[in-house]
Parts: sequence; C-alpha cells; structure tokens
Amino acid sequence: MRVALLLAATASLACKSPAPEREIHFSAAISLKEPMEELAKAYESAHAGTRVVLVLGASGDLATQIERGAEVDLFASAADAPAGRLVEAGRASASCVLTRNSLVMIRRKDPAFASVDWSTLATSTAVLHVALGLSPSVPAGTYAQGALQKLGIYDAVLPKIVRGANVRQVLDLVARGEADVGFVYATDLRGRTDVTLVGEPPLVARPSVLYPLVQTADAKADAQSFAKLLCGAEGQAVLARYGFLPP
Amino acid sequence: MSDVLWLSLGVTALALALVVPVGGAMGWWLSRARGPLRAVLDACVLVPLVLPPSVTGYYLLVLFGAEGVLGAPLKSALGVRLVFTPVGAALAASVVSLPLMAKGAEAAFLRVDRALVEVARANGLRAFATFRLVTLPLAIPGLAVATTLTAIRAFGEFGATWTFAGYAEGRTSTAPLELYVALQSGDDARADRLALVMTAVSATVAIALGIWGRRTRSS
Repeated sequence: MRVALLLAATASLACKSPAPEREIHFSAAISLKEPMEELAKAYESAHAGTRVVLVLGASGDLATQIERGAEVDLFASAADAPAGRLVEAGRASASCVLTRNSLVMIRRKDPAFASVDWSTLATSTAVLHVALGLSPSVPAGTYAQGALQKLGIYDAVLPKIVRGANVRQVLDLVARGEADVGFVYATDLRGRTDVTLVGEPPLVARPSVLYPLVQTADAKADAQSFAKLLCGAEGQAVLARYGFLPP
Repeated sequence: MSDVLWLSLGVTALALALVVPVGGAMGWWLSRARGPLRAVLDACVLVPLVLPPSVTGYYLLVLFGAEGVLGAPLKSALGVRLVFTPVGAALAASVVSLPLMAKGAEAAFLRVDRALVEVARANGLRAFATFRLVTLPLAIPGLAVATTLTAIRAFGEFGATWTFAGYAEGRTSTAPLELYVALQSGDDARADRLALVMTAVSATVAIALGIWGRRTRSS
C-alpha cells in the first residue's frame, strides 16, 4: 500500500514537471560560480517563465559533456582550449570573450609555510603536497603547469603534485591543509580568510587567463538573449564586482 | 596502464593486510558473543556497507585528514599523512570492504560444528590450540571466500577513495579513479582499456569462486 502511494506520488511529480517554463542550459567554469549565479537570477526575474539551468564544473569536463551530447545552449570556459574544441568540431560558435582573470599561488595559513613563494617553491622542504587542477580538464591546472615549466621548476615540483577535480577543490585542499601550496584564480579568494595569497607568477611566466563564451549549434533564441546580457554592460558590471577583469 | 594495475593491486594487498586480521577477529567474536555489546558491534560493522562510500570517505577525511581529529596528531607525532598517499587509498578501501570480511568470517565460524570443538576441549586441548587446530581449519573455506570478496571490493573501491585519498598520479590513482579521470578528460580509448582490464580481473575472480565453491561442496 505504501509502496503504491509512493509510486503514485512519484508519477504525479513526474507528470507535473513539464511546466510552461522555458529553460536555458548554461555550463560555466566553476570559477565563474558567484557572478553567473547572480546573473542567472537577474535574467530569470527580468524574463518571467524562463529558467537558467546552471551547470558548474571544470571547463574540460563541461566540454566533454557537450561533445557527448549534453543539451547545453551556452558554455563559458576558463580557457580557449575546451571552447575551441567545440568550435572546431562545428558544435559551437563564439559569442564574446566574457572576462579575464589571474592565476595566483596560494599557501596554507600555517606559519611553517610563510617563506614559500614562486622562487622558493622548488627547494622548500616544508612543502609536501602541491595542488594543481587535473590537467587538461581543469584550465587552472594547465595554466599552473605552464607557469612552473616556464620558470624551469616543474620537474622539481612534479613528485609533490596532487590533483583537484576543479579549481575550487584545489582551494579547498589548501584550506583544509591536505595540500601546502595550490594554484587558483585571484577571484576564487574573494571572502576567503582560510588560505594565504602568495601572488601571481613572475611576468615571464604569467598566463593570459581569458574566458570565452560560446553558444552551441542548437542554442535557442532565449539563450542568445542571455548571452547578450552576459557580454553586455550588465554582465560586465557584475563580473567586475566579483573581481574579474575586463576582457 | 600496467603501473595503474600494479598500484591497484598494491593498494588492494595493503587493504587486505589490514582487513583480513581485523575483520576476521571481529567475525570470530561476532560468531561467539551474545548480548547488547554484540548487537552494537554488529551494527557498527555494517555501517560502511549501508553508508554511501562518499560519506564514508568524508568521515575518514574528518578523522584522518591533515587537520583531522586523528590526522593532526598523527602528522605532528609521526609526520605521517594519509591523504594523497597509497596508504590513504588502502585505508579507504579497507573501511569500505571491512563489512564483507567481518560478516563473511562470522558466517564461516558459525558453520564450524560446535560438537567437534567441544570434543577437542573435553579431551584437554587448550582454548587457543582448539582454535588453531580445529576451529580455524574448518572455517578456512568460508574465510577464503570472505577474503576474496573483500579483495574484489577493495580493488574496485572508488567513492571513499576519491573523497578521502584524493587523486595523486602514481600514489592514489587506482584503476577505478583512472577510469573516471579518463572519461572526464575525453580519453575514451584509455577508459575502454581500463574497463576491460577491471572486468577481466573481476570476472576471473567470480568464475574462480564459482568453480572452487562447487568443488568444495562435492568433496
């Protein structure tokens, strides 16, 4: 009897869900989480009956999902490569360069790591685990690897490298003390007091972190109007408020 | 590919070294004890089996993480870290597979004919000697099955390992984790190879268990 009730309830729920609501499926690099959540809400309240379904994750993972047929209208990537893969395959076309960010090194708050910076990382004996995003899925990991290689210290650091499944997990690993050093974006540190900012790499090794926004081949008109909001003044104002740099 | 398999087998072996004695002893105690304490331990043993592995992994992180309840003293006293190490991966696999060993061992000991044990005791054999010469040999087939199931569960562990031990190439990157990473990064060829290898290993064990089960029943 109870089982039957449960089944009936589930069935009624399933039948109720296709409301007249229109949906925009938006996959975004997880570093864009807060501004994109705010902009999605702003768009929803300005367009009654439209819902923005936001999927956050590592840019490479999101691109793979789209390649495997996930129904996504818009995709904001934290690097050229994942979005470029989709454009080259004819699955998407460029909307705009959404924003810019900077890659930074962070370390644990523990005073034992106070002397760790870009010049001492390779030789520090205190540092046991260096957290990078899983490359190539996590652009922050790829940027960090590139910076370490340009500084000629990647091979020295390699045995200490541990991986985060996305850039926010890297931040979490350092905050929890599982990793002593990590590489994230400057904007990820907004409001965080549980890690210490070391800073950007020396100029020679500084990557250019651009966020392209692409729309997939089957993006609906709603999605295009949301893309306009993201690329336009309103989107840029929100991004700037969260510390992102103008493209 | 082969280094992933070797790491997986190494982590499984380490997990077994921990789980077989601990789970075996728990099973033996469960098979003999009565009363409320037994009920409590019985429930505790089952916890990792009924919890989602990611939750088990999270609890391990709270306990054994670098700043965990036990992890912090472990690190300051011995300099030992578990997260991102093969030992950490083995710990995750151990906890998740412990119920299979404990409950399997309990069943194995329960199946030992009590009359044989009592005859041995009545003839003056000491408790430990009785265990070693009578109980244990009779329980061996059941213990072997429990060990095999424990091993294959540890070999396939994903959720708790991912949550607790994390992903560090060559240290915690066991075959199930590698498969997930390969899929996420779009490397389907590697994912296919890993899936085939793991299926082959698991199927071999399942078939061997079946053949061995039939043989012990007919003898």
